[in-house]
Amino acid sequence: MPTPDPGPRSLRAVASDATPSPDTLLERVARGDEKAFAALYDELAPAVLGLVRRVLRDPARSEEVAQEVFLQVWQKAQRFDASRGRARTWVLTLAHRRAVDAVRHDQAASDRDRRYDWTGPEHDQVVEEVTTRLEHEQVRRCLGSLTDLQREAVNLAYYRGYTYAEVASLLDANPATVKTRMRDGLIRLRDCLGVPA
Amino acid sequence: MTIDPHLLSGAYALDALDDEERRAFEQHLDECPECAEEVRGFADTAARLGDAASVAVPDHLRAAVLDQVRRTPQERPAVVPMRRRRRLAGSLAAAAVAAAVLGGVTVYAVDQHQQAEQLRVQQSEVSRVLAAPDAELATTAVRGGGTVKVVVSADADRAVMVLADLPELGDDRDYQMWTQVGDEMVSAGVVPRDEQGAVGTHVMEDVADVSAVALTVEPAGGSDGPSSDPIALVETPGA
Repeated sequence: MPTPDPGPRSLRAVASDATPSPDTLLERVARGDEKAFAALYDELAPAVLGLVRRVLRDPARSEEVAQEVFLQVWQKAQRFDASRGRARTWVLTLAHRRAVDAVRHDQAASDRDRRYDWTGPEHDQVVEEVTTRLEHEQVRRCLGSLTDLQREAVNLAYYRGYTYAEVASLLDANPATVKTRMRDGLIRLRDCLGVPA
Repeated sequence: MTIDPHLLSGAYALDALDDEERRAFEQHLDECPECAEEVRGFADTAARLGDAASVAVPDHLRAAVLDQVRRTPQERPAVVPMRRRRRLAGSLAAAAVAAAVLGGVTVYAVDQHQQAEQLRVQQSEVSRVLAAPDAELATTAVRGGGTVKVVVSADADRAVMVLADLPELGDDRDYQMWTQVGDEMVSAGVVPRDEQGAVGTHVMEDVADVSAVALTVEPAGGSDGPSSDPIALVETPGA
């Protein structure tokens, strides 16, 4: 292993060796760069597939939807505007929207369990596959800092794809209250995670 | 009971609105910059929840995605959302306009095989504008080199902007296109880098309220508003 050099030269070397950020990669994808697309896929596929699987549950259907998401990323890359947000957020927002649309569409025809059986992220079967990263611990800790209603409202909407009206009925709460709790839950989560407001 | 739409930002960011509410809130977002800013922070926050759900990905998915991408063309939009339409006074014959711009259009650089299809779609868009009876042309030289040609048709409610021979910029800067609506400059997108030193054609929609089209040099990736004086400014004909 090379000896770390504390000087600025070493810092520059580290920065230039790093994988390009998703923002840089997505801008290259927008210009038709297939290699950049493959690198972007490698960077984001674990989160995209994991998120879609959380919402949809069915592994085969989740892979189908994840594939659609990446195709959409390829086709619509020109619409990404780096001045309006991060590429990672752009892709995960697409993925979530697509997963939620799919679960609502499939709902009638599938055996999706509409009962409230959610027991928290740490007990979810999918979590066993989660790659252990410091960030996940931070997310878990920050979710833990929310009130019960805030946390359950955020979890049921984001990880299960329920509308706020469905969340309200599952939790036997007022829909207006649920909407407000989603917002103040996200504010608390945002501040806890150190996301710029 | 009506609910303050501001309070829907959380539910919106979590995709917890139904389709109708989602559309209504998106309309509200256009008029509420603070809400848009809040939604942006919430989207970054939600993305962290997505990251936390990461799983190991099977190899066959990667192969399937990359294979499909290889066979699929990309979209190539340069769309500016704007407001009312207004007829442009005066007019040039479409044929004269076409003759003036078409060189640029046909030399349009095809740098990827999958862009052939987009090119076809775009050329039909371009032809539509050029063929409009009220199409008008304006041309200007770009400070620093190159030319900008703009064809506007109120009937087609579109403008075509042809950029030719713009000098190559360093990696830290990009050309960015703008439309002027009243006193406001609205971004019409960053010029793809592969168009530097070549010819690029951009179709803009909903141009009724646009009084000018401009080009600036911005930090790489573009800016929310022009950060320097335009290097080219074309007043759209009849404005």
